[in-house]
Amino acid sequence: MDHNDLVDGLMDIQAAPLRILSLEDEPIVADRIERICRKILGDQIGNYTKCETVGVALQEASSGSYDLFLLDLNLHGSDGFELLKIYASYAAQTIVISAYNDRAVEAFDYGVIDFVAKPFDEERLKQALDRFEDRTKPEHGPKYLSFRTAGRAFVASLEQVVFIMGADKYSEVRLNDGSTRLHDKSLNQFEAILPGSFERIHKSYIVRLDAIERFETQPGSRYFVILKSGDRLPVGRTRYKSLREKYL
Amino acid sequence: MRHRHTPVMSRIFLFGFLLFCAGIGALSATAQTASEQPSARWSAGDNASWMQPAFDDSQWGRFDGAATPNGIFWIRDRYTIPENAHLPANSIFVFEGTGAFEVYVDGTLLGSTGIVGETPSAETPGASRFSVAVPREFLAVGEHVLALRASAEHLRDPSDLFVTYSIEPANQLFSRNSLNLVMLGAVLAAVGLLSIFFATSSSTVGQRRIFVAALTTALGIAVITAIETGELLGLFPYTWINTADLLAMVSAAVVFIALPSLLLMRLGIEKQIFWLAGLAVVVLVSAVPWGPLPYEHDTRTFIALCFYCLAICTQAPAPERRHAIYYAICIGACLTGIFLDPQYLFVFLVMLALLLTLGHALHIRGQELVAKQTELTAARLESEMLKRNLQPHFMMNSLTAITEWIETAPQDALRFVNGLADEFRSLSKLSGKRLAPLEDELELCRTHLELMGMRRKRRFTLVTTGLEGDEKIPPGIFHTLIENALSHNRYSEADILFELSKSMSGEAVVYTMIAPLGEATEHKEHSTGSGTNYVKARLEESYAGRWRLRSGSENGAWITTIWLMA
Repeated sequence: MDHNDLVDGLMDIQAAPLRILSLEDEPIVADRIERICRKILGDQIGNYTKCETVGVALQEASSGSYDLFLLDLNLHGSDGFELLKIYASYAAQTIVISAYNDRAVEAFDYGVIDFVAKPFDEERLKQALDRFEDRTKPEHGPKYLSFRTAGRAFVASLEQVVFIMGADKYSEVRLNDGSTRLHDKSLNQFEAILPGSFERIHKSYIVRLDAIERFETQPGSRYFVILKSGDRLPVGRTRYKSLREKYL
Repeated sequence: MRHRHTPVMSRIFLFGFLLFCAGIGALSATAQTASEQPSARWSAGDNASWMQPAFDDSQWGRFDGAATPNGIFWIRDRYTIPENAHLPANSIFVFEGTGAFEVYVDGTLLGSTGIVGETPSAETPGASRFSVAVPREFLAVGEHVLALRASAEHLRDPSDLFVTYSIEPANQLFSRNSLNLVMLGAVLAAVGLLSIFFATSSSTVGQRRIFVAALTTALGIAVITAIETGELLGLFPYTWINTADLLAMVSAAVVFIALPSLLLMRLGIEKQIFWLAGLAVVVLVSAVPWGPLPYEHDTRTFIALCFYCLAICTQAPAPERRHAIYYAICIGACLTGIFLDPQYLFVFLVMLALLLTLGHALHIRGQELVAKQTELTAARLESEMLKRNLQPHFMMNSLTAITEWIETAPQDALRFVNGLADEFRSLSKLSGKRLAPLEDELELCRTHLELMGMRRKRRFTLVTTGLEGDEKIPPGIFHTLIENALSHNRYSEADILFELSKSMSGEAVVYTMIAPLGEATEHKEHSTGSGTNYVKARLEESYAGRWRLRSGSENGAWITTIWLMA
């Protein structure tokens, strides 16, 4: 087993206290979310920040380092989906808590890990937090990836993504036009939200399965995939077998 | 024999006379008016030999208008059928006159009207117009003698005595009579249609004056048409003529005033009294001959009236332009017809009545459509008002807050649920109304502010100035303005004050709502969002075109001002 693969899951969030940012303009509802979160997560929460306005929340998100966003999408009459595009570009995972559950599918398109409809009880919020903790893939994977460019969101369709390469805490996303964009999410965080059409092939790579043209084996049990784009990416030894099965 | 001059305007409609003139033109050699013939002579008395063609009447006096016969009298005249005359076999003598008559041609009795008598009691008045079939032999080439045995014992004024006659083809007479009957039917149908529209259409409520003007116009033309038709068909004895002429004159005067009044009211022209006074100009203009133009006084009056109506149409305000154009086209078409052939003035008058009726019917139809649209709008606004308060943001956040209070502060949950019930009761009560008591609206606003205060952990207060409480306003407008302010603002202060005041500006009632601005909000949505659109729709529903709304930020507050014009 590749040593690097073993430590993958320990890198991101589990070890450190959780940093949660809540954006909710209704004080009573915000209190309720915090109360239930603290009850469920207890001491795991290191920092819990409540914001009532979009401006303050964006400032917090950009200045602080958060693991989880709890977002209401309708604040003071504004449409929160523009906000969601920006929040989705951060490293933190997002849970939407909203009155407009008819837009849940749309929220999942931007990579949220759960959509909690108001009114909610403790059980429902626990389910969402468990999904965050367990990195359970949502039923609906994202259709888009958001990138921050000069403070604004650039949205790319997931179909444009060829592969993602880990770059320290960040990731580099290669698009089918040959361009590469930097994203705040780590490979582990991407792995938690990307659909089955993407596969983690190495500690440093996630690849789109239908972008693979062929496999290449080299002496010393070293494996590679050659992509249709011409890129040649390494495959972890422990992942090779399952990758071949999925590809074939 | 003396010409009988019918009253001004009523002669406009003497279609029979106009056709009589046409008959003279067509039968130049044979059609004659006794009074125009120097050969027409008369004599008082009664003698059977006076019917004979051979009788020498050279000693008789001329029947020239100065005759004042008493008792039975005879009139004799001669007519000549030239060799080139092509008279149809079924020709008819058409007489108009005031009296009872027996008609003899070449000594043969051809027909009569009434019973000739020496005294009023002995005389049965004849029809003012009657016709007698002319046997073929009396249309033979050469001279013929027409003798009338007559009496006019019921004439109040002997100077009203007149007799005219002409020979016309029977089919021509039939066509003319049929045309008159059709005209009468048409104008009566117009009156009937107007009445039915008025009786069945709810949209005429509030337009009684316009309807009365339209009905009066059509009714006036109908009366004139009925009189003319009755005279033409010989339905009236000559004793009715003065009464009928008087009635026709009054009807013509009524039409003269009602037609422009209808246009003035229908087109919403300002200074209507001024325009009605201007009718005097029409009277003056038509009183003098128009140089070489060969129009009778009655025709001139009608033409001048039409031009006056066209002038009225040009003054129609913008919303009524389309209708003004329709009326102008109707009047213009009638005018064109009269210019082309003044003889058919009567026909064009009826045509005008029908077109005006059609215009009025179309107007009512349009109003009914507007009324239906208004009903639909009212239903839409009602559902919108309810829907806005059932929107997910309000409902789901309220339910989430209740859920929290149930678990942490049950008394607050109870208080909130009761408040919510009050708000929905108020909404249900107000939403279906076009105007609701201001007091109910204020109660709704305060309930909503209390609920939102609980949710937002703030104290929202509504302060009112100058409101009387018993006035009525479109429901939900202030509630919506408050809701707008709460939706688009985040208030950090504990106490938030909303102010609603009422003042007068001229005849307009002015309501001003002042809502404080919060932090980091998109204020432009205050005036462009669905809430503001709802307020505007409600104002338009109840104060169509008589309201104004202005909103904007000023001194840290969002100020909405609504003007309601009287």
